[in-house]
Amino acid sequence: MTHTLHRQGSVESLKEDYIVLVVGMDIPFGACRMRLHRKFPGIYEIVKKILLKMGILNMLRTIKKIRPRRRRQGPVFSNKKELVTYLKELKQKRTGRSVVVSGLFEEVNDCLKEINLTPHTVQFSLGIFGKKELLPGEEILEITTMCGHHMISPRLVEKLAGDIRDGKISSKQAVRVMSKQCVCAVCNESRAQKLIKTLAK
Amino acid sequence: MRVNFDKCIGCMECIPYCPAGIIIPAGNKCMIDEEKCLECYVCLRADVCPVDALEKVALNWPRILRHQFSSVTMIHKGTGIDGRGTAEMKTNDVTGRYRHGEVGFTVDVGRPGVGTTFQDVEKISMAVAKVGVEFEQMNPVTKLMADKATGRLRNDIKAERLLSCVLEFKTEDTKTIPVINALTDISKSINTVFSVGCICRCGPDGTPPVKAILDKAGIFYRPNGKINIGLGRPLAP
Repeated sequence: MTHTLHRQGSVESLKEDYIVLVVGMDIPFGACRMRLHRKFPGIYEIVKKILLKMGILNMLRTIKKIRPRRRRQGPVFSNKKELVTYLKELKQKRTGRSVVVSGLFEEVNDCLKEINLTPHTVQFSLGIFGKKELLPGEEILEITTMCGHHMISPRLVEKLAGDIRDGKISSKQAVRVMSKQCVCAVCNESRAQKLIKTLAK
Repeated sequence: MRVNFDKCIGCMECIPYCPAGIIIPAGNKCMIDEEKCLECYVCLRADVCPVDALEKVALNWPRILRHQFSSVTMIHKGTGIDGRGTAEMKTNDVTGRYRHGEVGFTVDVGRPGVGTTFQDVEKISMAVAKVGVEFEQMNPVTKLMADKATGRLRNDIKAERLLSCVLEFKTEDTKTIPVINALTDISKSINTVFSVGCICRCGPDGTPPVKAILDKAGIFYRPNGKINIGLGRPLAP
C-alpha cells in the first residue's frame, strides 16, 4: 500500500503537505494479532486523544467520520509546527505502533531531529514509467495524486475548476466534493484548495 | 456497474466521477461499458444519481478481482487490510521485512489513474523476476501468481481490468540498478503507466544506503517520500 508516496507538486507546494500514518501490525489475523491488540490501545483512540489535545477539531471530525475502524489512522498537516507537536505526542505515548511520515525528506528530517528521532526505513518515489501520454496534465495530477488510490477523477477536478471559474461554486465547496471521494481522507484540503484555485484561473 | 436505462434521466451528473472515464453519454442517457468498468464503485459512493440508476452487476470469478483491486473499501482476505498491497515499509520497524543490504520495490501498475490489465502486470512481474527478486508472499498479486519464480500469473485472470495493483518484491541492494533497468525496458512495451517506489532500511545515522546507489547511477527520485520513524515495537524480543 503506497497511497501517500507518489504525491506530485513543486517543493514550495509540498512544504504544506505532511501525512502521518499510525499503522497496525502487518501480520495475518489470528491469535498473535489478537494478543497485540489487547496489549496496545486502538489506533483511533490514540490519534483522537492527541488531536483533541492539539485542538485540531476539523481533522478529528474527518477521522471520526471516515476511519474509526481502520487499521491505519493519520491526519494531514499543512505545517511543520503541527507535525512536530503531533510526532512528539506520539513518541511520548509509546504505543508500539509503527509511525510513517510522508512529505519532503529535508523538511521531515528537520522535524525528526527536533525530537531526537532518526529514520528507520525510507521509501523513495522513482516517478512514473510507461505510457505517460495517457496521463492528464501536471496541474490535475498535483490534485489527483493526493488520493493515492485515485478515487478523485481528473474529469471531476476539471469540472469543478470550471464551476469555480463560472462562479457556480467556491473553491472550498469544490474541495469538499473532491475530498469526499478520497476514502482514506489523505487529500490535503488546504493544499487542494490553493491548487484548484490556480487551475480555475 | 451498469446504468439502468429505464431509470436514467440523462442528467449526466455521474460522468465526471468515474476515475477511468468509462461513463459516457449515449443519446439522452448515460452508459457504462461493462467490459471496461473497473468496479471501483466510485460513482455509486459519490451518491450523485438522483434516480438511483447506477446498479451493481454480479461479480463472479474472475470479475470480482476488478472490485478487489479497484475499490479501496474492499479488504483482501490474504492481507487483512484494505487497499491494493500490504503495509510494506510502514511496519518495517515491527516486522523487519526489509533488512540491511536489501532493497524493496513497490510497482503500482496502472497508477496514477490510467488502469491496467493483469496481462500488463504479468509483463512487469516476469521482467523483474528475471533479475532475481523475491515477491512478497502476503501481497494480493503474488497470491495470483502461478509461478512465483518467474512471476507468471494465472491464465484465467489475465484479461481482467483494474484501476491499479501493487507488485511488491525485494532483492539484494546490488541489484537495485538492474531492477530499475528492467522496469525501464519493460515500460516501453506495456499499454499503461506504473509508479515505482524504492525501499531501504536506514543506517544508524538515518541515512538510507540506496540513496548513494541512486545518486551514483543518476536515477531520478522525488524530493518527497515516506519515512518510517522507528516508533514501532519489534515483534521479536
